[in-house]
Amino acid sequence: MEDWRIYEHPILKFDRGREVTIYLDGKPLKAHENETVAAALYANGLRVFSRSIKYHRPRGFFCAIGRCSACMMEVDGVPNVRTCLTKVGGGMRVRRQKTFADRLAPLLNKMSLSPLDYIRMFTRPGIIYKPAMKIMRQFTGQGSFPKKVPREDGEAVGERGEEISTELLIVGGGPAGLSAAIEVGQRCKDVVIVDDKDRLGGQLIRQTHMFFSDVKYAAGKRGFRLGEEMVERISELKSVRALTNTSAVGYYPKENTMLLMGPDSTTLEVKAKKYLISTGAYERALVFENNDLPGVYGAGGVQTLLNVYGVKPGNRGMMLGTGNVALIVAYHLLQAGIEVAGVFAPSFRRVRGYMVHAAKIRRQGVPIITRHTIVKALGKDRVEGAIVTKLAENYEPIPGTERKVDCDFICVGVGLNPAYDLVQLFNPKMVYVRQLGGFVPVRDRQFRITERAYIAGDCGSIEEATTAVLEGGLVGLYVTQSLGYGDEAVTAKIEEYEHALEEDRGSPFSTGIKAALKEITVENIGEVLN
Amino acid sequence: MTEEDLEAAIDAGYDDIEILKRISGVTTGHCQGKMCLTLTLNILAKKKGMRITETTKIRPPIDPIPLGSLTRAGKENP
Repeated sequence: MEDWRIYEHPILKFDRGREVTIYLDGKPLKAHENETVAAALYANGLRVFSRSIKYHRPRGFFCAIGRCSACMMEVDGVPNVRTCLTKVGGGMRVRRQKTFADRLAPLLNKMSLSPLDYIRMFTRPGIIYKPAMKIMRQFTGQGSFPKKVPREDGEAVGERGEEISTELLIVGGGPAGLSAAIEVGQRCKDVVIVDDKDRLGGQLIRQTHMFFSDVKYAAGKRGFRLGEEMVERISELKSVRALTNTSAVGYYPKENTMLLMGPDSTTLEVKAKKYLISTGAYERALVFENNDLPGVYGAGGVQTLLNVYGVKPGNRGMMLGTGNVALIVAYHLLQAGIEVAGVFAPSFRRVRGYMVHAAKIRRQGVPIITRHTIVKALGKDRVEGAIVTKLAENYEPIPGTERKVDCDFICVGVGLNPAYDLVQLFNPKMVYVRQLGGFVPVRDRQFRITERAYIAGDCGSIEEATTAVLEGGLVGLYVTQSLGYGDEAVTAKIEEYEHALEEDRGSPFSTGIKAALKEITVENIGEVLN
Repeated sequence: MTEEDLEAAIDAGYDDIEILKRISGVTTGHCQGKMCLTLTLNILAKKKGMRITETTKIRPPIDPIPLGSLTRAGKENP
């Protein structure tokens, strides 16, 4: 049997928990209690998790943190479960959601129907419409109706119910959210922090490298340790309630209600005086031929698989992008003993990230090749190689420079987009700012995006984790003030944080970010909203 | 959804992100736009030779949730 787990790692020890058996389409597989279903299946060699909706192409997961939803499978009779967020349970039955159309996938792939033809198909003559739709139905949708019948006591579908109110609801338990919770929790009475993972810490938990920032508390610490320390501090604060495995599915401004979904699809309605959005970022994808082939992963997805679950994504990978995330993940792959065929990037500058990270991977013999981009991923239902090409001055590929790279997975590390969706539900003014990563809300000096909502961390501007920690703390203090708990000590600490943030953004890397932030920061948020 | 699908729709005149979403179904699949919206906006901007200025409206739920969880199928109203 295939086993892709890593048993020896120079830095990490994997606490996988008790061994249990799960069933994939009836076939027993070895899994561990602390693994997610997706990690366990991947460790057993499964690569195709789902099929795309239109062309039924094979899909593996991209992000591994519940964003791309390409890992949706049927778990214990419940369809469309995101397996990368679901923990393994003994005897769990997992099924691939196959439809009749999956068998016709190669044919559908060849038919390139423009959306216009697509919606007009079989509408004329009218007589064929109804029978044609009956057949077409077989091609649509994802998964089948839940086999579990909702029980009257509501346990099976989840209790709708509890409504809670709180002073502050923090969505996102990453560096910014945690840091804010620590500051607010020390001074306010009632704070709720929610995160859709099974533990707080956000993406800090997958960082095994040392932070070398000037920020005094973070320098020289490995990311996951920094996260653990913050989580520990929060557990000591009685005023902070942490809800893990809970995602924010909606916010309804008229009712001032945030809808949360907890474990087993239970729902929870929260009315808070203030909201802090620190939902982080989504990984950027890249357009190239076969970019949805299983084996094309977000660099962060690979990092999660590797550093959180100790599962090898493949034997030999290639990296796209030379930002810090890409360089660090390439280094993490090497740490785990996985070959890296090369780091490729379209940029003309040598390296976009810090030289320290670039030097670390160069020392291990990994070439960093700029002015190159990927044009195609090779393989039928998993990556078996890639074609890269050189770029001319105008960023167009130079014909004849194509070459094949041998690899069995491709990491896309071309940057992050701010997580815009929850932010947008508050109806702030959104603007597109390239330097900050994408669409971000206009905020005021206290980081308010509306009267009720505050923003901190990557969902407001894509920056370093250490910056998010500082920003989170600062926003936490502003919220404290607005909730009426402000005093002189708070004011003094705000000044301290403002100063630290200024210093943190002092490097030449941040010049563009600083200017862009100034552009979208107003004096008082009331003036931009109607 | 392929790049060609989108380009065909844009060529046919559906060159606003809201209408492009409705005609092609882009950003309404698995990821609900979390992965594909930015790519789509880039393709749209490039095709029109313009900069990105507008995005699509977001509506809850933003994460997959079973419909049963939203009904009063629980204790209160069996």
